[in-house]
Amino acid sequence: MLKKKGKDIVSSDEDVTRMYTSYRTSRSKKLLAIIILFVILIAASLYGLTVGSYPISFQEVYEILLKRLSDLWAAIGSVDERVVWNQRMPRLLTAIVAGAGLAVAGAAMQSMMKNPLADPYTTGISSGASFGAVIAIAFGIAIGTLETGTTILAFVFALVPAAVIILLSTFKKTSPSMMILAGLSVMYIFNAMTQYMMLVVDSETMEAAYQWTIGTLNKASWSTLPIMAGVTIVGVFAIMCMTKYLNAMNSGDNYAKTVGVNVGRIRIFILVLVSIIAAGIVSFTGIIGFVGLVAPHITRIFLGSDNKLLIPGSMLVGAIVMVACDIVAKSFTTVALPIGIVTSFIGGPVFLFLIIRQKKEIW
Amino acid sequence: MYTLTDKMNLSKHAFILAAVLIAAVAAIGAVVIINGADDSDAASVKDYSATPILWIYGNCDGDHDIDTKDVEVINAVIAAGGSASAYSWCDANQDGVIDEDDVEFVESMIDGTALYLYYLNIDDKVCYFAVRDQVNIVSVNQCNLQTVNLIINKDKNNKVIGSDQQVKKYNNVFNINFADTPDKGALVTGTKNGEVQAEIISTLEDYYGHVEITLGSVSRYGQTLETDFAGDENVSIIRLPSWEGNALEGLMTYGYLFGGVQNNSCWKQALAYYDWYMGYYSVIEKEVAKIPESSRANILTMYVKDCYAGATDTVLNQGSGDYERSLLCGGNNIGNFFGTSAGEYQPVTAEDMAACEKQYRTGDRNRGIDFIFVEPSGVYGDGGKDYVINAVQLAIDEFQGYINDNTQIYSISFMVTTAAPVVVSYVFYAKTLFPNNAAFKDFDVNKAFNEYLQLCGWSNRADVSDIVSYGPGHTNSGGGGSSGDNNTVIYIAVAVVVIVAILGLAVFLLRKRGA
Repeated sequence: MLKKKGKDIVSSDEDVTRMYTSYRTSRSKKLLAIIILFVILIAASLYGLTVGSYPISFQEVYEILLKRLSDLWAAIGSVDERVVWNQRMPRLLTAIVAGAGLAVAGAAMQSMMKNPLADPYTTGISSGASFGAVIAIAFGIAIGTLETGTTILAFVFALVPAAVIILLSTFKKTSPSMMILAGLSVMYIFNAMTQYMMLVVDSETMEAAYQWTIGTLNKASWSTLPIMAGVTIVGVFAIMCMTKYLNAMNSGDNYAKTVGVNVGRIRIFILVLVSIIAAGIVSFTGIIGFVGLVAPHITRIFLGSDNKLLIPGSMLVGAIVMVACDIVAKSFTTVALPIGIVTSFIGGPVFLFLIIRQKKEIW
Repeated sequence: MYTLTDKMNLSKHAFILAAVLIAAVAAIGAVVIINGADDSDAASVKDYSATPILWIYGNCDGDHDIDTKDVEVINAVIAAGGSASAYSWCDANQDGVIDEDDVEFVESMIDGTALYLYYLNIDDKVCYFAVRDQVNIVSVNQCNLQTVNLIINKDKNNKVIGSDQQVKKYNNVFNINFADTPDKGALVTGTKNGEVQAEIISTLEDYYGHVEITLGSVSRYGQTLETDFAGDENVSIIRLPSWEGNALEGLMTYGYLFGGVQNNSCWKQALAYYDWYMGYYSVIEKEVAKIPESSRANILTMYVKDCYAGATDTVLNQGSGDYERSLLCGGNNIGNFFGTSAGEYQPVTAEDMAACEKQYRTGDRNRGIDFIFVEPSGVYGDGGKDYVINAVQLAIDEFQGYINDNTQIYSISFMVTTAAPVVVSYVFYAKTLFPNNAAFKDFDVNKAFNEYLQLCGWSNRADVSDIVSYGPGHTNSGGGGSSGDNNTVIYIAVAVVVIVAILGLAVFLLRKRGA
């Protein structure tokens, strides 16, 4: 017989059955929610394909889509087909991959650090990526092309903060506060170097560097998507394999240790995965903020904090947020707004609204 | 026999003939006098121009010089009782009234005795300028440097003593020689990105006695200069257009300030530039006026950032200067399709270009994008020529398949689209847009650029292919994919190496810590 504060919790087999049934019902509802989120993502994606500056009807878009899906390797004939398949489709898929990746990375960071304000950029990834990009732009570093050089340097420098934290872990315990503080230190260093570079370069270089930092999907293409998707999928899959560790760490380091989790190692490993995912996305799209922070919180409202549901749910919510923001960005003016601006502009108020409306504590 | 009657008849005829001759002479004289009187009254209030080429007060008729015609206009305005507010350029001494003092003032400018004058700067401020025997110029921004350098390069007395910190990359292109300076040898770079360092200017002032800083609008350059040097008569801050607005007006005004009153070589250089400029511009203006709007080619002017290759994605629309230049040369610039906010950097994608092509193809004029002019900016340093040539291929790779197969894509160096050499771009645009126009048959970009170099006093350059690059009309061959494939391989390689490295580092350190 289980007791809590003097009251019986379970008094009979019926209560056990009732609790089990209640758990299964709750679980089913959450799985249903995930399915609904998936359907919403599909619907948003199909609508997103029809939005753009090039005038083309819904019907034509879907005809082109079906035609391409039936024969992926056929030569592209018309401008309409080229716009839908070579411009909108990779842009849509990039938005889905970026949103999913950043959201999963954010959820993992929040669970690992037990900090609701953690996001993929907490450890200084964005500042490292910005610095790498500015270096490439300022010095015209070409690896194949200048654009490739910028992407690669952004990726490499985005991982430097993670490397610093890993190095520090040999001297200090890898606690969440250590990681956050180390990330902040690295962020300040990179920010200082970036600002210095901005001072010494000419105005055109500064403009180009600034535009890179805003975050855009304009550079999405079939040639860049596989790399970004590959890195993100591998990283997300790895994180999903570690959800039980995240659940344990979410309850506190002491609890996690009691259930056999090597907190230090797991934390480092997840940090590496998050860094690789975020770096792989940021180096292609620039800094897209807010998605990694808000998508996990929105997901928690509906699915709770169990990472087994939270991670896939965040993935879907993050993707939906990005696709929705891209639709807004393309609808706003003749030429699309940078998506980094839209995610921040829309996401903030939405998040506040959800927090205010939410009655129970989700964290 | 010759009789008295015959004598009387002869006298009569002679008298008549003399009368006729006298009348004829009188008539001719009257005609001459009347015409002469018209000439002396040619200048009138209606000759006043409120949009002058020379932004110097006293230039009442708005032409490129200050001469007796301006005096005549002032007299006409005085006679008509015109006010300084309505005829501002006639208020040469800026005392708020138009009177005989202004006549005397302009006459002193003409005879070279004026000690100072007034001009209007790019921020619409009336500025005082003390006429000097010699100027020491600090020139901010490369466009301004091109303008100033053309004026003074053949003058031994006037010199450029400092410029933008980026100036070294211009040296290769412009072969600019700077005066020796007190502390840094042949070159002083006293400014950076429009921030003019007061300390360095003060050092130059101490060494040279006076400094003339030439730059653009206060919104972009040296925001604190007027405050830093308020009341300092030995530092002149001259804000005139080189790329911001009409390069001709800026250059002529600079030329007059530095040498107009004294009629020295600087002013003669400016006048030579005027003749060169108008020699092409007047032909273009006349021919373009004949071309109906409906016949003009649809063009886009786009900007390539040298430091971010692949970014052939910024359209220059109204207010950018490039937009206006292309209209001047007879194109129908459709850049406003992408937004009408003035200036630059309207980022566009291939889909946006396709949308533009479709709209214009199905519109009233039934023609899509005829020309795309791509303008790379990073052309001053090593590899500048490659930027111009590569810019065309970048544009083709990016937009092929989304625009008309017959769209012609050209690249023109930023070096000739602003400031003093802008005439070269006029020649280029006119010849490209109207290759069969007889009036432009002698137009040649190489020739025009060499004429510019002659004006500057530099040696001819045999190879001007970095100025313009003629891109082929693209072919619908499936879009640029080869460079993307190479990039994919590079991305994969780097990603694998970096990820393996960082995972390896993590595993190694964790094992070491565990041990």
